[in-house]
Amino acid sequence: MNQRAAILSLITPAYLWLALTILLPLSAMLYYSFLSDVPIGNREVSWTTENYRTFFEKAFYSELMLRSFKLGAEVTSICLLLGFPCALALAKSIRGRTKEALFLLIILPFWSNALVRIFSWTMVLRGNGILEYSINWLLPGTGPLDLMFTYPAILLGLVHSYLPYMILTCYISIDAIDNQLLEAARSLGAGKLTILFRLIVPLALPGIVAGSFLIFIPVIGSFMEPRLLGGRNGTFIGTIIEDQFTAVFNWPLGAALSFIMMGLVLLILFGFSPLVRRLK
Amino acid sequence: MANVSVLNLSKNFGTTTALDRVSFQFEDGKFFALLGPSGSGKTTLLRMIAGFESPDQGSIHIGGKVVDHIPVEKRDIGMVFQNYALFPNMNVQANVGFGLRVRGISGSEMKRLVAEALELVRLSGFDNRQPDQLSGGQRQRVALARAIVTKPRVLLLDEPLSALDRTLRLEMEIELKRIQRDVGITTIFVTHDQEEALTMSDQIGILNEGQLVQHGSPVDIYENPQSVFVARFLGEANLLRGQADGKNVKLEIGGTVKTLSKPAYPQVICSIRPEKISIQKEQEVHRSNGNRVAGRVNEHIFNGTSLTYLVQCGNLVVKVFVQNLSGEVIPPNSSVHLFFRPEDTLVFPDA
Ligand SMILES: Nc1ncnc2c1ncn2[C@@H]1O[C@H](COP(=O)(O)OP(=O)(O)O)[C@@H](O)[C@H]1O
Ligand SMILES: [Mg+2]
Repeated sequence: MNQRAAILSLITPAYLWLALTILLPLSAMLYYSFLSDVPIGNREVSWTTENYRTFFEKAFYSELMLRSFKLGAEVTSICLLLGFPCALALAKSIRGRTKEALFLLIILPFWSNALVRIFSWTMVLRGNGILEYSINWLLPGTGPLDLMFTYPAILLGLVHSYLPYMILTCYISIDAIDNQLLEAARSLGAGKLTILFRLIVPLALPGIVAGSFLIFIPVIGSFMEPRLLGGRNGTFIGTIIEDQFTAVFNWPLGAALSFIMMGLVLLILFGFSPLVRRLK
Repeated sequence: MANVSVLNLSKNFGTTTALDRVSFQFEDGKFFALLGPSGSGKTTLLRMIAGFESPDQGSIHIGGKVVDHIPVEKRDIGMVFQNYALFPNMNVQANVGFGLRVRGISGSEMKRLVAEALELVRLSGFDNRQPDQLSGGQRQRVALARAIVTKPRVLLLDEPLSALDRTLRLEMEIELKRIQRDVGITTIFVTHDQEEALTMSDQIGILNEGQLVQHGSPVDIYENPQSVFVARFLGEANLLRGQADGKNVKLEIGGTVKTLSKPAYPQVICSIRPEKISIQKEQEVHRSNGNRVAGRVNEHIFNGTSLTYLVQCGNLVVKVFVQNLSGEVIPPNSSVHLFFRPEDTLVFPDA
């Protein structure tokens, strides 16, 4: 009984904080999403479901939503393909000083302001920028790369921002795998690939799933990278939502689109939950 | 199944010498125990035979062929780890079948072999359990089944019983020995528990500070230790310092004892096992041949089948084991005489 009181007193502040910082703004947004206009000054405002209907009536929005989910899936996959081997090497092969140095490099993107980071990419990628210049210096006659304001540029920027999440979550779960398991597998005759796919990947699945969601969710709502690196090619559901809040001043539509996106993400989460539960 | 031989193996970790020129023959189908105190290099030797460590010097043969450049996964060994190392993402059947699958055996053939192995370790019907639904002893059996199902040439076990409680350990000792006999596989068993080594193995190799100090059958090593270290490490020994003179040794605690062989050095340590000593009250002494030392009983420990006396002889406490034949106990402070035969009085140089 005493223990329960202790636990309660420990978790209550955190839950109160969460309730205040997440639930309150969220309910405000939910409220907005059912309004016909922003309730400022003495505008006529009424209850409506039109904002939600708009999404289903105009193919434009669902196409954008799909495009964003595709972007999320691609960024997540690239992060997984790059991050998992990196985490594996960090956890099982590299030791001591080198490891510490590499960890610092990995979390370096976290240290810099996102806007600064993205603008640095524009310097690298733009026509006659650092990348084009260097490649043409190394291989004269390559000509312009035309990377700036393209879909690959967006991918590049997003992967750069989110790769550390994948490396860190995978590292934690790979590091927790007992080396004796891998040795046992070798003693039973298993080669490297068998060990990777029958042991390491299944045992690291919680980290892979966690990393994937940590990346997928913010990427589908991202607007800075698409806008700055994608230019005209950078229209996604995230940029549209941002427009509603900052440019068009249609908060209700922006809120409704956000909730639809959240609902879809929750659906995907539920789809994965049996898998996650099986992993405990 | 095959014999294993190691030749002149040495291994250093930085400045620590883990193994120092160890040579040994593990004969086909026999059960070997590698016994030694913690840090003596047992694990290193076993891991080298498995292929997880490579020797700085020397070579390893399995089945008459050099395996120095063959990686673990191609050595065809079975290994049981101290913490079992069962794959937590697989059930018992998949764990045991892992080595078979790797070898391309699947489907009904795999199921049949897995069932056979599980029957051997008396775990039939546990196929669908997850490792975390098994007790320690059961996990141990699964680990064993997994290691032998592929019919490896040699079975390596690193202190496999040390995580089990005493009752379970004694039970598993018998089981392991039975399984080894049934399968007839060359087995190398690492332990720091002398009782385990004595009861289970055909041959024992004793390691100390990276060196193989003695090897032989349990009886041979127990009866004829070649050094004070072995005498003390395998079984118990009373050590009495003295001065040699021909076949006589003048003991520091007083009295002179005879030995069978003539020591080649003046300063010696005599080693006498507690159970080779008989004890008699001073006033009832009726034996005079053999070696004799006088003392006084400090205390006794009664454990039903036997008695242990701690006898003060000079400044030394001598341990004596007596079978409980008469049901009579010599009370503390009694003056007693201890008798033992010259052939049980082993002499070693006093370093
Ligand atoms: N990977 C290693 N790195 C450094 N020292 C080691 C390593 N493995 C073993 N040693 C050292 O080698 C010696 C023998 O170790 P080990 O073979 O594990 O002994 P045992 O199994 O008999 O307890 C010990 O002194 C130990 O500290
Ligand atoms: Mg060890």
